[in-house]
Amino acid sequence: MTMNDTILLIITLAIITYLSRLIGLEVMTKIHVTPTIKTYLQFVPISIITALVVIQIMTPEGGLTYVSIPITVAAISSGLTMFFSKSLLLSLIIGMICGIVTRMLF
Amino acid sequence: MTSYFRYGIIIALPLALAIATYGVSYGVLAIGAGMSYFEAILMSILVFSGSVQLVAVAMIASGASFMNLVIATSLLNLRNLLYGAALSDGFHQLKRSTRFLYAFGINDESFVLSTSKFKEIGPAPRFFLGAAITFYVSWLLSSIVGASLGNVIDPVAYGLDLAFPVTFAALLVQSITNYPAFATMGLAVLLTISLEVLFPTNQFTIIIVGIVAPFLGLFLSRKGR
Repeated sequence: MTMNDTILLIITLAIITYLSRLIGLEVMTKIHVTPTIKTYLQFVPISIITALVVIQIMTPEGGLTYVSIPITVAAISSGLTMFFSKSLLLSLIIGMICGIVTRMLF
Repeated sequence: MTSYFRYGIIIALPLALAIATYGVSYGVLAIGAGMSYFEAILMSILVFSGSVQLVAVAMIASGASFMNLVIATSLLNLRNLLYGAALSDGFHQLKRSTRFLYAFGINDESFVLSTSKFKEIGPAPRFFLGAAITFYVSWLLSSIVGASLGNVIDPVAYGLDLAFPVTFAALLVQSITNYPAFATMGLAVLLTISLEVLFPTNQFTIIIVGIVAPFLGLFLSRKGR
């Protein structure tokens, strides 16, 4: 992406994000939001973040898709650390160390 | 009135620290994804959303198209509609122009904090304002720290390909709070692998998974009730 593209993207994302906040505040009160929609939306971020992690683990090469062992190890160790410690910083440090060590071994 | 503003700041401080760690991560990753220092900080000033900015930066790094970024972001932003709807009762007393300003402060953290406090102290827009400003300052400062750090340590040299999945895996685990959420993640993993194997480097995997996988979470939540 060029400099101009990035600035345009930032402004576009800013407008979309602000509008979603404003529409919720000004318009959504007049519309009945069913519990079904509320529950569905709860699971959207989880799905998108999962897809992002899996895509980062899988590297396409020459029409085939490979799984990167170091990235898998890094992601799993970071996730486990987060599960047990609830500390983002610790998870990032341990995830990075495990990934780098695995990369050196393979 | 003023005391509710100060109360909002005080109650928001511990969460503001948590937000700051995400802000630093965002800053480092934004620079790693090829954004300039100025762009990285501008995004925090204008967008002020952890999930949108982190996802956008990861997608920029993976070479996603403009349109796909817009669709994925819109999908993520759908929950803001609910936050706004829930907060609007408490904001009813405000002037329209003031509400337009307050709207900018709506995000996961300010919503959760304010709606739980409103139950206790009644609708107090000033409490929301205090909390939202605290989060905004924390987000801006930590983004600046992260972007500066990213300029110094060059994350690419230390394995940027690791930094992204490590950050997102931690974020993901944090949001897995119940069985339906766990199952949704499981389905999202299977769907993503299938789509990537069948159609490598296609642009729509994230969007398809973001639309389809939540149905499992919805189904299991309703069944459990």
